[in-house]
Amino acid sequence: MTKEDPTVFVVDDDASVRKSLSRLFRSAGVSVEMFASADAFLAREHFTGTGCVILDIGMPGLNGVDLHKRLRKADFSMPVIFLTGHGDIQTGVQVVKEGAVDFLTKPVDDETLLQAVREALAKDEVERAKRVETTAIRQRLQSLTDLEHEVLTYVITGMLNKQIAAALDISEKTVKVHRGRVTDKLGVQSVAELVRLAEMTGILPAEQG
Amino acid sequence: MTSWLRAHGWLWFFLCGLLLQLNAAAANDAPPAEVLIIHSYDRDFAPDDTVDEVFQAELTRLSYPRPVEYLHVYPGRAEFESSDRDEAILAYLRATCGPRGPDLIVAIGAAAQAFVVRQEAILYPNIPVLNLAAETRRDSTLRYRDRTVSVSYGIDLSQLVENVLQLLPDTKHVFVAMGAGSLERFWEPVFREVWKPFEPRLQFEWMSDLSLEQMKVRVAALPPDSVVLAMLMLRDATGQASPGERALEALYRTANTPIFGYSEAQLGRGIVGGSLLALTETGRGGAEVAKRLLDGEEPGTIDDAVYPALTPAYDWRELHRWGIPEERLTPGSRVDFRKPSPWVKYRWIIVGSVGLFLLQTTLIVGLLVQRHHRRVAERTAQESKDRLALAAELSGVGLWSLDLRSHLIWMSERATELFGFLPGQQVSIALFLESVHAEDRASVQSAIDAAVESGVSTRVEYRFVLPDGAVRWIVAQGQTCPSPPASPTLFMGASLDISENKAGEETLRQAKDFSEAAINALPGIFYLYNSEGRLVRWNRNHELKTGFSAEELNGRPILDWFPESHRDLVALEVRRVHEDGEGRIEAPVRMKDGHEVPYLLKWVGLMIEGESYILGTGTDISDIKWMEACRDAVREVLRILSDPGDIRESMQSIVSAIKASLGVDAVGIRLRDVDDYTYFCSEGFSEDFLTKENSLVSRNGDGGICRDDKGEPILQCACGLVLSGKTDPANPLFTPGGSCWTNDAAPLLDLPAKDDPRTNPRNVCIHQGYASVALIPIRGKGEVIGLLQLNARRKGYFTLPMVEFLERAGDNMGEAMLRRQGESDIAQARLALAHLSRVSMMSELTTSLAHELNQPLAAILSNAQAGLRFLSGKEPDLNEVAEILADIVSDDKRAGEIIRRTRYLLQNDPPHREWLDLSVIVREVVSILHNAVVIHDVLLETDLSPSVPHIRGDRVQLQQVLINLIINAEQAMIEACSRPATVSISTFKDHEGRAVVTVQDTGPGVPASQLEEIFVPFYSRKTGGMGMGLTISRSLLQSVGGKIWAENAPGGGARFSILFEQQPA
Repeated sequence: MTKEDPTVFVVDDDASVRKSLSRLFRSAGVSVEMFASADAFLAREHFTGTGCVILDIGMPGLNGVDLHKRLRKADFSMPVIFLTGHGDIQTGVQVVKEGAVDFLTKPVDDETLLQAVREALAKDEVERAKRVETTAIRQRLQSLTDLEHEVLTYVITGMLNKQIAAALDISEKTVKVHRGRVTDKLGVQSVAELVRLAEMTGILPAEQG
Repeated sequence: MTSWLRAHGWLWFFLCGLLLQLNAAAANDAPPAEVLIIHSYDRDFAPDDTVDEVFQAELTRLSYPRPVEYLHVYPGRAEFESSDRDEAILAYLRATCGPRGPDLIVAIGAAAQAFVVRQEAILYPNIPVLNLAAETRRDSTLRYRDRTVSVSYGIDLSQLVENVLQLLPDTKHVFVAMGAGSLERFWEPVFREVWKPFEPRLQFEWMSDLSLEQMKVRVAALPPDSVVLAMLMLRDATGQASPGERALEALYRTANTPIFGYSEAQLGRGIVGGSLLALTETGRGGAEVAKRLLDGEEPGTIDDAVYPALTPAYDWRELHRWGIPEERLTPGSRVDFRKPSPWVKYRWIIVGSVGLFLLQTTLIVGLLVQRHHRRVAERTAQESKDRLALAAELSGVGLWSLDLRSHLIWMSERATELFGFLPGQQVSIALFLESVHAEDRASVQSAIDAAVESGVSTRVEYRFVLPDGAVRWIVAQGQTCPSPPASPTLFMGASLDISENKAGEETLRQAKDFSEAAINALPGIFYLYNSEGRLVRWNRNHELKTGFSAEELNGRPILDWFPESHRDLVALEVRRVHEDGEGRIEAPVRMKDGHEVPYLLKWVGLMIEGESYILGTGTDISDIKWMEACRDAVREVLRILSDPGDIRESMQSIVSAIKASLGVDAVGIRLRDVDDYTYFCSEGFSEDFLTKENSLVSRNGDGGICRDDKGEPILQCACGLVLSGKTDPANPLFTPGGSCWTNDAAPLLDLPAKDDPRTNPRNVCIHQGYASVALIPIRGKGEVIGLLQLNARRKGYFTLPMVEFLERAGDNMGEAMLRRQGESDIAQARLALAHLSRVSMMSELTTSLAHELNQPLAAILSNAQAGLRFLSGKEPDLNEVAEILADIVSDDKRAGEIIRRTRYLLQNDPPHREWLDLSVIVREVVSILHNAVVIHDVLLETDLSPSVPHIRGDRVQLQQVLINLIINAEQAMIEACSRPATVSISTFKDHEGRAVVTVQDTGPGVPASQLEEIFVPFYSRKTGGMGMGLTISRSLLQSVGGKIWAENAPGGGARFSILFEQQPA
């Protein structure tokens, strides 16, 4: 396995639990890294490969829930699975709302855990691909002029060139030119493609009317 | 018997002294001169008495108007000459005379003077002493100090014998009447020595080895030409004392020869006379010196005086009787009693009778102290100064004369009056005898006959019945006239009413009877042992109580009374009595029938004539012993009841304690059991007994319980009566306190049903051989809750006081049982609450516990599944698998430990005290709570000292207290959203060496006003809390000597401290 192999990161203050999970993942051929506390995990150098995080909730210092919040704020994209000794529904609902991919309670069956990890890793794989695409699109979007960007926001609303020209108080021809540049720059063929790109990058359609 | 009298004398000495002190009327206007007269002999030594009498009368006269009070001390006999009794006499003198002492000490006789000389350093050093009336031979043996003046008398012993020869020149035999007491023993060799020159002309026969009775016989048949020389006769050879001149009087009555004497006191009492001891002059001379001393003259300036023998004085009657012509008398001799009037002649009878009571009293009392008052002294003075005064005293004497021919009696006026005849009435001897009391008639008749026949003076005492039926005691003395050998024509004499004296004698006899009766009636036994430890005197009770007869008791050795086991102790105590003078011992005394009774024996040691005695009493203390045993039993019962533990075990201990303490054969306790009262516990009863007796209720044919009209079950036999309170105090079977008891149960069997108070009597006790049964109610809060049963096979085991004592015991037991039950309830409640609180606390910890338990379970599952996966691989790494299995085992143990710990906290076992290390307890608690607080982002910090003194307590309770405090702290911080949220737990030893644990948080603290309030039940700062946690904590800690308090830490947050005020292990 190389350094960038798909890896599971386990944060749990209980040594026996860490040890047993480590064995389990190894037995399933999954790379795993263990951390006894949130701080230890945060201190790890950035990981670029596919991975997922398994968090315990009750831990001294920063607990699992808070660590999750911290990661989210930092745009940490890896899927997070909670694995806890007291799985009350309230906490489960809360963490899933906040983006956790799964909420498992100890003791956990190996298949359940491995399935969750596999799904998470697959998800991360997809996400990672998406992330790559989006990054490319963003780079392309940045090449757009302000007017072209503005036009784009009108295009993804489905407005006609004439309507866009009226809204921007420019000529229809100018709209048509800029629209052509946008599609060229972004490498798309259709409006539908433009809309999907916008969605991926969080570009909001212009407000109509 | 003599010893007994002496011993008695000592007992009565104090009694009589006290009575006389009480009787002494000390009221006198002028401060009286106090004169202490110490006598050498009992108040029956005629010479001293005469001197004393004259001395007092004269001194009183001389001192007038200043009154003189005389304080007499009669030490009794010549033992006084030795120092044995000095201590007692001194103590008595000091107690009587007070610290100041008398104004003058008069020592009469040599023995008293010796005492004063011997004790001069102690006996009032500045008070003048008059040595009075010692014969010069004895007097000269003493050394006087310069504050002493001596007034003594002398006698010419040769002259006594020469006088005999002068009056009766033909005398060949001199019979010396002499006692054998200590004074006599002093003088006899002196007499022998002085009279030796008269031998062989005179033959002296010494009668000092004869008893008085023997002397009386001897002198009645003396050869011709004999005389009796009556010398000192205080005590004869048998030890018999003769007070006054009694011995002389006795000899005089029988002697067939003239009697000569030595002292003025003998004159008129039967001696012929001679040159006698000058008692009156000595007394007067002494009084004059005493007056000068009282007036303050220095003793050194007053010359000693010796009064030589009197000018010869004779009794005319004796001269006349023995036909001694007065020509033989030395010219200038005095002849008294020249005209003998009958009353003067018989004066001695009267005086003797009057003095009888007093004399007998003094005979008994070894040492007599008496205060004379001025009035009495003056009267005495009158008597002795002027003998005519006697005539007034003698006015009660009736004279009579019986004409032996006409048998008619002439009577003086007084005699007529005495016998109740009419003046002028002709009284024949027959008429007279008719009125003599029938019982005395014969003796009167024979006295007359004897007098007429022998011509000797006859004395008789008889009762005379007056016409009105009253009875008088009469003493009569008569003699025929003329004297033999002439044929008598008259029998004449005098009579005196002695009814009062007889009453006195009667009183004395009654007094003696009384004391005998009193001693016999003493509740205990009374005894006197001699120095050999043999019983010599005892009271009637002694015989009754011990069952031994008088013959068996006499001389019985003291040790024989005691069982072997106690003899050493008794012997030791006997020795102690001889050394210290008193002793006491509690010991079993063996009765005739062999059974032993505990006695308290109190002994005093007595020295009587150099021989030591043990005088003592004995009290049967079996009742007291029993009571003590009862008290001990009750105390033990209460002690048992005050100890925690199983009530049934306690009750069994109680039964055993009662049985052991009281020595009964069986003890049982019945307690209410729904409707029945079964034996709760017992000891000593047979299985059979318990089976038969266990249930008390009456049952009908269907086995249902019979009830009375109030619905109460009908209880059987005597137990039932006690338990249902149906005890009739009028029936001797029951007490007012509701008990039933008997010392002989068997007769109950024969009791007709109508007389048997018991319902369905079962008589099991009787059939099983218990004679003594006591059934004592056990009451609590006034209700009979059970009964205490005591059974003994022996008859007569109980007494009413014992039963009453046991009743109080029963009440105590009942109250204690209820109280104990109450305490037990409270303790149970407290423990239940503590448990409830723990359960509640644990429910708060459930989440944390579940989590904690899930950790090892999770590890186990994952490890196991990983292992399976490894094994299913192509080349399983068995080392890896082995590691996995080891970890599984470890995690499993960990899970088990968590479960065990939790269950431990939740268990409801009784508290178990052990020595605990607070730091260890804190670590355990932290491990339990770790997960719980971590969930809430609370940090647990500990600062545990390794040297905290171990404390004694219950582990679970202490854990509970700490968990409660930590959870409280955690929740307070969570509610207040305190950051950081830390609970710090410290253990340490304070400056006084006590173990302390503190729990401090970083929360908002406790409002100052509520620092104490939080320990009050149902105070809660937590939502959903029971509000009992701190209350229970405080209660649990108090039970192990710990205290808990709250305060606010200087840096914020609440701090709870627990301090253990315990002795270190």
